[in-house]
Formats: sequence, structure tokens, C-alpha cells
Amino acid sequence: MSYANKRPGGRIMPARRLTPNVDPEKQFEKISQAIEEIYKHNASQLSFEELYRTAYGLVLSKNGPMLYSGVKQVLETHLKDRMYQDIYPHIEAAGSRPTSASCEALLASVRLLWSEHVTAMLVIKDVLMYVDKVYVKAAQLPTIYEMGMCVFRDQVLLASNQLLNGKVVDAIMFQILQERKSASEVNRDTLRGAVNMMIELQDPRQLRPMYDVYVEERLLAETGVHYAGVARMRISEMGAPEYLRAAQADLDTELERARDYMSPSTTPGLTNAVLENLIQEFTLPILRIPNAGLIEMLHQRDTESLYTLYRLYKPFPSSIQVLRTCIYDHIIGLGKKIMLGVESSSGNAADDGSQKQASDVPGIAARTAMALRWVQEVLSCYDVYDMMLKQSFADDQDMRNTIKDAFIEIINANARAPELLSLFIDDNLKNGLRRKSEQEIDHLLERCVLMFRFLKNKDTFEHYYKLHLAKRLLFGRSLSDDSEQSLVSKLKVECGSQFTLKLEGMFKDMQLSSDVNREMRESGVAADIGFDLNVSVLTPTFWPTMASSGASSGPRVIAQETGTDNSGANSSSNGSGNNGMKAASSGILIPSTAGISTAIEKFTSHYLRFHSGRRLTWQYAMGNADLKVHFRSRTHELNVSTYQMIVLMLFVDGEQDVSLTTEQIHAQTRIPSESLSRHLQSLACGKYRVLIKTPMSREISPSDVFQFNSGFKSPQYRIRIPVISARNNVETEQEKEASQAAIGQERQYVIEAAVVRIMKTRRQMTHEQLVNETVDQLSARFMASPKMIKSGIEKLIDREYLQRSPDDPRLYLYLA
Amino acid sequence: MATDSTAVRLVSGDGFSFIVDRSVAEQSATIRNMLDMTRSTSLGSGAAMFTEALTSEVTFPEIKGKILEKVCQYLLYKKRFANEGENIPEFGFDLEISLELLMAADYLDC
Repeated sequence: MSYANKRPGGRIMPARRLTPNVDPEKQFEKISQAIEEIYKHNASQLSFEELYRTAYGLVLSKNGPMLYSGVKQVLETHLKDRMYQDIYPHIEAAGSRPTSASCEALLASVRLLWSEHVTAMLVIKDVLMYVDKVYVKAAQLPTIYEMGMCVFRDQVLLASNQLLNGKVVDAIMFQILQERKSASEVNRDTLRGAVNMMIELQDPRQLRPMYDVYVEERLLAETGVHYAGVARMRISEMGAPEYLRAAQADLDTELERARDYMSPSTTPGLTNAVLENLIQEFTLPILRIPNAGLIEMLHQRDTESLYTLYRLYKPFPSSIQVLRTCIYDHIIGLGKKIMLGVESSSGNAADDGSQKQASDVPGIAARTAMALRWVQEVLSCYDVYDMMLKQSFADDQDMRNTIKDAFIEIINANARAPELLSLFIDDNLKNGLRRKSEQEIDHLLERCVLMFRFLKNKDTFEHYYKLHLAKRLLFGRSLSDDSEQSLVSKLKVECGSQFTLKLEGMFKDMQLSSDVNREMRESGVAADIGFDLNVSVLTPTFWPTMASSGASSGPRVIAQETGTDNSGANSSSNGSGNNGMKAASSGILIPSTAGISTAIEKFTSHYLRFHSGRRLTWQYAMGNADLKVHFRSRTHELNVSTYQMIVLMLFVDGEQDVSLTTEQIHAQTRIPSESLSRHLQSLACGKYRVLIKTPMSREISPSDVFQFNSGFKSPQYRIRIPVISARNNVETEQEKEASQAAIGQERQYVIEAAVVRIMKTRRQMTHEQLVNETVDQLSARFMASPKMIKSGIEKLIDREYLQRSPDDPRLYLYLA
Repeated sequence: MATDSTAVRLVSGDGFSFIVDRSVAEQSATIRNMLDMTRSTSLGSGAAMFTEALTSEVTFPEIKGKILEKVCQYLLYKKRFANEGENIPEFGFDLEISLELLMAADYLDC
């Protein structure tokens, strides 16, 4: 308020003198009576204004202390009387042998007294609001209402001769236990009222709600005892899914109870008390319940029970840890089982064929099939666990890592994993994708990349992948260029462009080659040749080293020739699509007929015209040719390898009934004898016998004689004569050793390069530091053994990249 | 007018009656408590209400009509401008009644 000073000379009227001299005791009597009336619900007979004015007068006449203590006394007396009247009988009744009914009666009577007291206090505090506002504030006392609460606490609950407080808590506990055992219906309203009373009242000593001091602690302790008993009983009777469901139901009931008539602050403690006893105490026993434990749940893919399990274990890090260990062990077990399953069926296959012979064709094929099955089974196993991770374990980061670690372990436990994975991909890209939708293909490739990610020896995989990819590309066996590319780009994301550089180079070579071939056809050079020639020009650094490639070094380009040859025993005509890797240095002799040599020369000169300075080395080992061959009964088109073509062409020349021994063929072609016998085998001993061998045995010996089989018959027009081991199979032991050696050599280079890189930046390092750093840097590609690193370091010292510190033999210095 | 539940009668010690809207009267915390109709006990609401709440009439024997009139004006002024942050006009009164007005404000908690 502000005043308008209209009349500057005006006089301020004096305030009336309040409260004429009336006896303060009489004034207080008015209030004391009013309080009794309020308790009796007779407020309507009273004038608020009068009472308020009375209190106002007393406070202003400095009778505040008298008023305050007087009110307190009135309340005390009132409550004491009520105690004797209303509550005492129930204390006696509930005393020795509590029953649900006696507890209910006790709680109900206390609650009634409480609620009436609260109602009365709400009115009294309003009437005495001037006391609160002026006197209580100045004297720093509890407000009238707070004082009323304390009086109730001290006179009713904590009255020294009655021990009511303990009995009330006992009664609450008794009722809760009744409810837990569903022995009898309890009145939740009464309980809620009693609990609220305890929440509202402060304990005089601890200055916390009495609920916290007396009810909550007891509740948690008794809950713990109750569920410890329940758990002991259930664990021997129930399977894990049932046990977990029951535990979850218990927890839900307890929380519902807490929400309904306990303090919200109890919820965390209560959850803990229930789960500690039902779950944490039995972490391992639950998982190991015979015939109905974790393993069974995993087997049955009981995602729902597992989800319950996860949620109940979640609050306890140690339990989750145990769960993770169990899952880990289980997956490892599964991995071993897959391994055993695959091996035992391979054992059977080996028994069918005559014992293990590395070169045994059906044996190898069967082992390859099993290898594929291993990858397939590991991947589908992973699919299952990935599904469970999402559906049961809430995509938990730790759980994901556990599953990942387990799969890393089982995949790397198989030393051939990189090779098998590459084979698996090879098989799928050649055959498997045919019946699959785009989504399935994508999923499959994703999974392959995932397995790749789990591989420790990524460089080994790269080695095999290059080998298999090379065959796919050169034989044109890949079903889908898109899938190939997409896989490589996925690998690139995984391992960086360094890793896929060579793979991409291979694709690029194929692209460039097809450009060159088209160019040649368009320029008319091809027309002179007389058949279709398709050459793959390959950059040697990108491609895996083929067995027969020349040892020449320096910049060179390997040309691969695809062509159509005229050939045949009796006469010849055009075929198409032939592809041969030629090694000039290995000096294979091409028969002069049919213009193949001419074709090669023409291609070479054509190619070098555009790419001068390059060197073409012809590799025949990887090529193939389509031949039209006239047999006595009909003409067939034979799809053969370049070597086979060369051999067959020996029989074209001129006269009928050419007979050549193995030695002669070798002399005339100079095909390496090992390859030669394989190719002769496939021509003379395989399913399609285009040559007749004398004597008729499976093995090829130098003196065997070969003749053209003009009486060859087959229902099909087009025949593919398979070359033994042209398919991608599991490697034989010798091949494996060769691969290992190649990979080992490669690793040695990589290690040395890494060591130099590290030393160049650090200048000096101790042996341990250097080894650790190197292992670390290379871990994305393979696990470098300290031994290899040590030998690498020694070589670098020999070549004076590094030197040992003269002061400290453990220290290496970098020499610029 | 006294029976109209939205209006209440305020009576001064020297017999002047002021009929104001309940929401205006309730700008005073004291009057609000006097007229509180939400009080209830287990026996029903009527028993817990004071005479003033039941009759919608409050008598202030110690406040003169002249002061109570100003108080009513102020209660209206308070209700009108309580929720406005700015542009609140001054509430004017005569200097000579300032002391009595001050005591009434203390008594009525407004």
C-alpha cells in the first residue's frame, strides 16, 4: 500500500487501543474449550473470528508463551484420555497372540485416532494462525501443527508405559505376512493409514520419519527372511523357467504392495531384499538346475524365460558376470560340438572311400562339403545367439561382448577357419546364391563379414580369398558381380582400403581386359585370328602367385588368353571363349595348328602398341577353351582347359590314329609333368574319355600310350571336362604347407615394415615396448608372435635400419 | 444477497455491511480460513465448518466501517492486479487512517 499525501498538514489518527484489560486466563479458557469442541466436531457452533481475535489479543498482550504451552497441554490431555478409552483395549487383545483380526482392530483404532487428530489439528492451526505468524516465528518453536504431531507421537505411539509403537509395527508386519502367505484378506486401507501415520511422524532422536526407523528396516529384514525360505524350498522343486517366473511374480506383488500402502522410498530396498534372496543367493544353482537350467533354456530358445532371467540378474553385476561366463562356456561347448560333428561325419566319409588319401577326389570333395557345413553351422549358431541377445538380453553391451568373445574363440579354435570361410564364400558366390532373395544374400554376406571380423588371422583369409577369387574370376564362375563387389566393399569398411587394394585390383584387371578384348574385336585384329580370343591381362602384384608362373621379375603383365580353338581329332571348327594363362618363360610349346601361336602374337603386338614398355607373360595354367570336336557318331563341343586343348591338338594333326606316349606328349608340349598327368587323367580316365589310354589304369606312367577315342559317345552336345582339382577345395596337406609358408613370408615383410614405421616415429624403444606396439598395430590383420617380431628386428639390425643402444642392450635406436 | 454463495457479507464493528464477492474476500488469508467450506471430518462437512462459513457472514467488532470500506477496496484492488507484473496503479488512501489500516492488514493477513 502506499498513501496519497493529499493533505500535507493532516494528522494521523491514533490506532485504537486493543484488548481491554480482560484476564488472559479467561481468554485462554475460551480457546481451550473451543479445542474440545473441535475434537467433538462442533466447529459450527464456534465463531472463527472470535477465536482468532482472542488468540490475536493474547499474542499482542505478550501472552504467547502461555497460549502455546496451554494449547499443548490441552492436546496432551485429550490424547491421553483417548488412549485409555479407545486404544488400550486393543493393545490388550493384540498382546500375546496376534491374529489378523486383533491386529486389524488395533491398527484401525490407532488410525482412527490419528485421522481425527490430524483433522482437528488442521482446524486448530487455522484458528491459531496469528500465533504461528507472529509468536511461533519469533520464538523459533515448531508450528502449532507440528507441535500437534509431536504431541500425538509422544502421547500415543511413544507413550512410555504402552510400547504402542512396537505393537503397531508388529501388527503391520503381521498383516503383511498374512497377505504374503495369502492366509487371510487384510484391510489395506487400515494399513495404508497406519503406514502414512508413520511416514508423517518424525522420530525424535533420529530426525527421520518414524517409518524409516521402525517400519522400513523391519520390513526389509523380514522380507529377506521370508524369501530366503521360499527360495530354498523352490530351488529343489522347480525348473529354472518356473523359478524365474515365480520370482518375477513375487517381485511384482511386493512392488505392487509397496506402491499401494508403503512409502515410495521403500521400493529400491524392497526390490533388493526380494532379489537378493531369490536370485543373487542362488545365482549359480538356478542356472544349473538339472534338466531345466540355463542350457535347456538356451537349447529351447526360450527367449521369454531368458529375458526374465536377464532382468532379474541385471541388478547384480556379479550375477550377470556368472551368467555371462556360463553363456560363454556354453557357446564354446557348442563350438566344440560343431567341430566334432563335422569331423565325425568326415570320418564316415573317409571310411566310405578307402582311408585317407590326400589326393582321393571324393574324399576331398566330402571334406570340402564338411568345411562348408562348419561355417554354415557356426553362422547359424551365431544367428541364434544374436537373436537371443536382442530378444532376451536387451542388446546388453556386455552380453554382446561375451557372445562375440565366445564366437571369436570357437572360430579361431579352428586353425583352418580363414580358409574355410573363404571356401564358404566361394561356394555361395558360385552356387549358393542362386535360390536366394536379395535380402538373404545380403544377410549371408553380412554374416560372412562378421565371421571375418572375428578372425584373428585376417591375412590368412586374404591369402585364400585372393586365390579363390582369382579362380572365380578367371573361370567366370561367379554368379553375381554385384555380390562380389558388395562383399569387397564390406571388407573394405571392415579393414580399410589397404586390405582390399589387391582385391579391387583384380576386379579392375578383369574390367580392363574386357575393354582390351572389345577394342581388339572392333579394330579388326580379331577377325584375322579366326576364332574368339579372350585374354585376361593381369597385374601380377594383385593376383595370387599361380603354381606355374614364371620366375621372371621386373615389370610385367601376365596375359591370359581366352580363345576359341579349332581343333578336333578328325577336323575342327569354331568354338568360343577360351582363357589361358601363359608362361613364356616356362616354355610351353603350342602346336602350330589352328593359329593359336599367331593369335598370341597378334594380341601381343596389338596390346603393346597401346601399352608400350610392358611385358606380357603368358600363363596357360588357368585358361580354358571351347573345342568343336568331330567324333565318329556326332560332333561335340568340349569345354576344356588350355592344357587339355594343347594335348588334344597333338591328335588333330594329319593322320588318323596318332598314338603318343606320355613322354612324347611331355616332350611335345613341355607341360610340367605333374599338371600333365592330371590333365591326361581327366581326358582319359574321367567320366568323359576322349582319349584312350593303354593300359587302362587310373595312374599315369611315362610309358602309357594315348589315342584319340573317335568312338566317344555322349547324349549331350556340350560337355565340360573337369580338370581334377580345378574346383576350390580344402587344401591338401602339401598345399596347406605351401600356403602357410607364403603367408609366413608375407607376415615377415609386414612385421618388418611395421617395426620400421614404429621406430621411425619413436626413434628409440625398449624391446618390450616395440614388441607390444607391433602386436598392437598388426592385431587387425593377424596375431604376430613375439618370436617372429624378434627375428624381424634382428634382420633389420643386420640391414642397419636399427641398432642396439651401446648403453642399454634392451634399447633399440632408429638409424635414419 | 447473503444467501448467494458467491457473495459474502463483511460487517464492521459500528454496523456497516459490505457485500463482496467471495473471491475478493478470500484475498485475505484470515477471511479465507474463516469462510473455508472444504473442512470436513469423518462426521461430514457441516460439523467442521465454523459459523462464518455456514452463514457467509463475518463480523469484525474491532474494525470500524470507515476502515473496513478501505479494506474491501484494497481486497478488490489486490485481486485485480495480483497477477500483473507491471503497470499497477498506486492504491491511494488518506494518511490519517494509515495506522488503523495497517493494523487491519496485520489482523486480516492481506
